[in-house]
Amino acid sequence: MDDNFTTRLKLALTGATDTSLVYLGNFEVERQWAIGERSLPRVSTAASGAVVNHMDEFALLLAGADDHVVLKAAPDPDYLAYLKGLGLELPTVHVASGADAQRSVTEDTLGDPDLLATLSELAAQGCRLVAHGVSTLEERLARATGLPLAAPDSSTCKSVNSKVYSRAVADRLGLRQPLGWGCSTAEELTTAVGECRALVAAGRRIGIKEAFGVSGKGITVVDDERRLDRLHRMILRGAENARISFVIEEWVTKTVDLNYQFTVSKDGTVRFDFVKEALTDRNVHKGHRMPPDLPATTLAEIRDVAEPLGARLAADGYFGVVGVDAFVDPDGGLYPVVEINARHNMSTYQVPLQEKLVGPNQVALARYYPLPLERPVPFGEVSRMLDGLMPARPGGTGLVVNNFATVNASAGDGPFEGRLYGLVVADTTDELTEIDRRITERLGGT
Amino acid sequence: MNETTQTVDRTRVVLAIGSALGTVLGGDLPEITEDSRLFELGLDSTGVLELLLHLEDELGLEVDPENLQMEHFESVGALADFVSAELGV
Repeated sequence: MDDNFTTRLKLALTGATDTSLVYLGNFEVERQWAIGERSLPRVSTAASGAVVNHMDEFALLLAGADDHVVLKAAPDPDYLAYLKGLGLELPTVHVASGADAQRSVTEDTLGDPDLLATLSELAAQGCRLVAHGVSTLEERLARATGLPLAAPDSSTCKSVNSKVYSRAVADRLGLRQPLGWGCSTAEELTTAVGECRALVAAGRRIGIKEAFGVSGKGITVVDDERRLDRLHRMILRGAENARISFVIEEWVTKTVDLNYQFTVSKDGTVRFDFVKEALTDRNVHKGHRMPPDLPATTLAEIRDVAEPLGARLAADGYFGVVGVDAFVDPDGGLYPVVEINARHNMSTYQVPLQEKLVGPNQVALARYYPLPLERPVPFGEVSRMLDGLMPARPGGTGLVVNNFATVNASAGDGPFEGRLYGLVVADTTDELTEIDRRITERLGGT
Repeated sequence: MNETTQTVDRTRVVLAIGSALGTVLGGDLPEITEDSRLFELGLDSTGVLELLLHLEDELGLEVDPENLQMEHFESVGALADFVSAELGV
């Protein structure tokens, strides 16, 4: 068997390495899981919604020649040629007609009868559906097309993605975590807030997290009692028929944020995939650096946690990719479970390109570059802007672009900001910093 | 000293929003007017909550998250309309 991630993923999800899969990149599936849950005030711009929904193009990176990918928009043909030139085998691409920038690829597909018919034919051929994460929408798509989901049901997926679940599992396994409470009722919330008053009075900070918040949203940090009480009352003011699912915990200083991934097979076996350093800015994920600069003992600790965590998830009915956020404190102490993301993660999509293009002794940085634009731009124009800054061959150095749909996703009337996602590859960390700086400069950033 | 209860009216709401924006966004902000677009000033999803908490402190507002819509944050004026309605002024 080819020992590459996507082959192993097929085996884990379907029990065979030659199953043909239909991939869906329904990023921010948490928004579906959060329906019916109380939340902290949150608003998103139309532009950010459009960019997130066009992250569906990342799914191209996981799929192979025998697979299919459903997308909101047709990829730029030059981008597809570029991916092929990098050595990727391209899947069959199916594009939803009538796409709405504010809807996920799943919602667009459900609104396209012709595409549903095409997917039904694929179901008849034995294809299976693999989503970024499974909500009731993906289940609806599976029913509408007859494509079986190669995943647990949405109820299981939602349950194991709750931050309340993460805390409970860490408690059960005796894993180090900040002092805190998972709250599933108003009474539990009030009790936890009461406990936190003493902490805040002692000068410590408290983090309040929605159980289903995505990418740093739905988290707030407080350091005074008055603010703590205001947030408590604000949550209780929410809709009466909406559930309360919050984590309240001490906000511990972090020196290194980490993300590690393992895959739980349908038969319950757990395989550790990787660990990377997660770059965050004000709790929002910005990218990953690999390999992480960590002591061997910390890396071993992380690998040792994956097995029991995966076993617990399997016992609770989950199988598939699992990403876990962790961190190291200023004393070098590892907090191995901050949040369990039982779905695909940003770093999941990077793996096939890493396997092909990042040499064993090279370093890499996965991030996005903001691209200030006046009008939509084709891939050819962006790659000309980056002339000399893209690797000429596997093992070379420079930027590997891994999503182009997000560049023009929020184009409308007037200027807009695109996101160019990519993997910067270098031979040393100093060279990585320099190439990153030159790319930023070339793309008009500061 | 006599306590003077300040009447909350729309003018005061707009001033409170300007002050809260200054605290949340920091730095040098351009002059804030009712037409000022909040997200163009640099407000993001994290800042929205901070802004609302400052307004709760300043104005005695109690925000129900269920009532919040994207349109309320399009401009200072739109937010002032929302806050004024919540306060009944």
